[in-house]
Amino acid sequence: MRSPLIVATLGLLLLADVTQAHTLVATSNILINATRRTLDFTSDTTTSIRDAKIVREAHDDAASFVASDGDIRGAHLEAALNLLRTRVPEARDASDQVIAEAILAL
Amino acid sequence: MRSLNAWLLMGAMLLLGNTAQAGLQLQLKTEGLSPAQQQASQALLDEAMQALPPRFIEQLDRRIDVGWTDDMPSNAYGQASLVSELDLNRNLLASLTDGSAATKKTYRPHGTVRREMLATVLHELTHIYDRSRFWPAAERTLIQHCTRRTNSSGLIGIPDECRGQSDRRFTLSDDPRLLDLAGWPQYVGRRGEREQYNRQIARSPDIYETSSPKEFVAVNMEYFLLDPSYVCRRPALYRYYKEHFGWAPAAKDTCGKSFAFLNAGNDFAKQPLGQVDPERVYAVDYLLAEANQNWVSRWGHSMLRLVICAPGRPRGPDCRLDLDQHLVLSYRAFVGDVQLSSWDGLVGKYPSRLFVLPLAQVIDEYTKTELRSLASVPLNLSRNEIEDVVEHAAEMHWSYDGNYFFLSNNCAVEGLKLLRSGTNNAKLVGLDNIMPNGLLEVLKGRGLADTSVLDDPREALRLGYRFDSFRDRYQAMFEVLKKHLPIKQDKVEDWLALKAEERRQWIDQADLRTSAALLLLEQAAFRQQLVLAQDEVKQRYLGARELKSGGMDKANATLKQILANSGFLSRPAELLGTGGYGLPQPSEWQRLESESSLRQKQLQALTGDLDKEVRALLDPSRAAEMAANEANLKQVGEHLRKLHKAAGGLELP
Repeated sequence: MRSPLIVATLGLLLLADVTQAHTLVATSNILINATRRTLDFTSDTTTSIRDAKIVREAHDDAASFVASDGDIRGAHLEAALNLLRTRVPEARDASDQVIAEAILAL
Repeated sequence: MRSLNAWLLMGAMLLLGNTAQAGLQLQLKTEGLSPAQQQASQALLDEAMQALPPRFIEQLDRRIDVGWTDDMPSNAYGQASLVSELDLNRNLLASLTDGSAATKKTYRPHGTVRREMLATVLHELTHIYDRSRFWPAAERTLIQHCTRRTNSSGLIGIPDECRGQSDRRFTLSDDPRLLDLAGWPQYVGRRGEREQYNRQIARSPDIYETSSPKEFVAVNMEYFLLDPSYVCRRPALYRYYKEHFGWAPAAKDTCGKSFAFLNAGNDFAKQPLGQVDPERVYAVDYLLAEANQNWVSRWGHSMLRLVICAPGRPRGPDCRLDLDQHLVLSYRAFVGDVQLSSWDGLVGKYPSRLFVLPLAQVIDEYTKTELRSLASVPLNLSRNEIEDVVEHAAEMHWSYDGNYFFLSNNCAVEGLKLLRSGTNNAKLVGLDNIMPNGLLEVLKGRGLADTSVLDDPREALRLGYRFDSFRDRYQAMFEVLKKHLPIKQDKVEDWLALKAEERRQWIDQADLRTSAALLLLEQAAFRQQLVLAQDEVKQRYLGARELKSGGMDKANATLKQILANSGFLSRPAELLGTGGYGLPQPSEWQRLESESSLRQKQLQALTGDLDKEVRALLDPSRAAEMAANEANLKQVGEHLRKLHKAAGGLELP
């Protein structure tokens, strides 16, 4: 039951006397955290639908869906499809494939 | 004949007279008290009598003598004898008499010295009441039945409803339900035996309450009777007392609809203070991270998922896909893989706390970083049970500070306790499982978990009952690649082991489908680099620390500052002052908001600094490989967008 939860680790450290081994976990978690951001493909512009959390978090699912030709269909994609169909008129009648590609191209 | 009638009439009148007089009487010992002292003392006792529940006065049918005594530690307020005497500390008499006690502040939740004295009278009377075994009829029958059963056939095979009921000696303080709520949960596997220490120690109105269940009952009675905000601060206990007495004080606050919590998500750019409205919680799922070979993960990790509906969406199955709203309740020990000590884990050295995390982060952590899959199984709970679980989780979030034992008090045990105390569901009372995967089996066996949602793996994946490990996805992506491009590698591991530059040449040849696969594989390569980098930084860090130089000083200082600033996320109660207790109330809300956002801003700034420091520690070749990898990711992204645009694909606004 390992927990790569940065704040949890940090919190413990504060209370449980900062030892060097502890500090290491924090360091490595921070490293993961810092670099995780590079994997995030969102643009920093306005708060349009493309920035919606549901859409952003569907990016990897959309890539899996497109690459597997619809075989891998995760819940994040399903949620984004629903959201986009209700919010974006052009998406209403578009196929799953078309919308997944649009999410992938964000 | 006439005289017999008269006798009967007289007898009846006596009986009636007795009934009218029955009940508790507080008799002041007036010897040695001046008239003013008598008057002030009597006023205090009258007030106490008025605060007591009718059932309490009726049941505790006796005269209790109340006096002032010098024979007491100077800081004590009072104490009760076993049956019918109550002593107050004479030190306090002067300030009660001249009225200054009513204004003298104590800086404790009761406020003034006089309120403390009133609370003391109620507290000590509650001890006498608790000792007097005033069980309601049905409870008395159950206790007698269970005691007989245990005496004849022992604890083995004891029915669930008898757990903790045999040989009870107190009206309230050994009631299993009270113990669940108070923080003395059942030990697992010991047929109802209770844990010795109460770990609900944060946000306590009076830490004395955790010294024993008897004191807990008495302390909480003070607040139940005197504090109109008790109903909002400790809602479950309020209902417990209310139900026992069939009555509650008239003065009562109106509670907010939602519960505050600190979101322990790893995105420091976001305000960590959140709210959960139980009305919007559609379901509670048992969320199980499947086991891997890491020894602490061999039985999986169990959590609870709150399926929360998006604002404005009526509660229903559609809420299952409002994934950005869902939260995960997770008991975690604060350990990482480097220094995890099995001995420390077995003896409970790791603090265990209840964290509230965004679902998306939990999914990422398990499926992408640890490459473990997650199963999310709906629990069959009634509407009330769902709301009570949310409420209890909020109470535990603010008050619990436990010890984590890998075997006897792990996430499965903590989760079970949370469900048991939260719902009071009879089917949960006798559950004793201690392993996460085992617990799911038992829940299923008792009809509490609906695992049929997992029967069709594709549907389960689509609807969010299962989140697959990315290990499988990377394999699938490699197969797509292999099919569409003339690459030489036969295994995904070999592909990922290539240099980023070697992989880069294929990007421009890829069609849309293959580019999508390439993208995920580049991400996989990047995560792999991260793991390697972590290890290297760790080694360097250790080395540099030992040398006392090595250019680590700056990073070290920043790290220490981060640690000093982030403790609050794991111990949310630290953000609040000492004036309140239990669930934070609107009056405390503002402080909570400003404190948490202030600390979070400092954290964000410090994290930025540390990023730079830590990156500087990377081995130059590792740093170059990572940069090349990042360039690949960027290039695949651009290539994808180009193909998409050329094909005239849909553009999202």
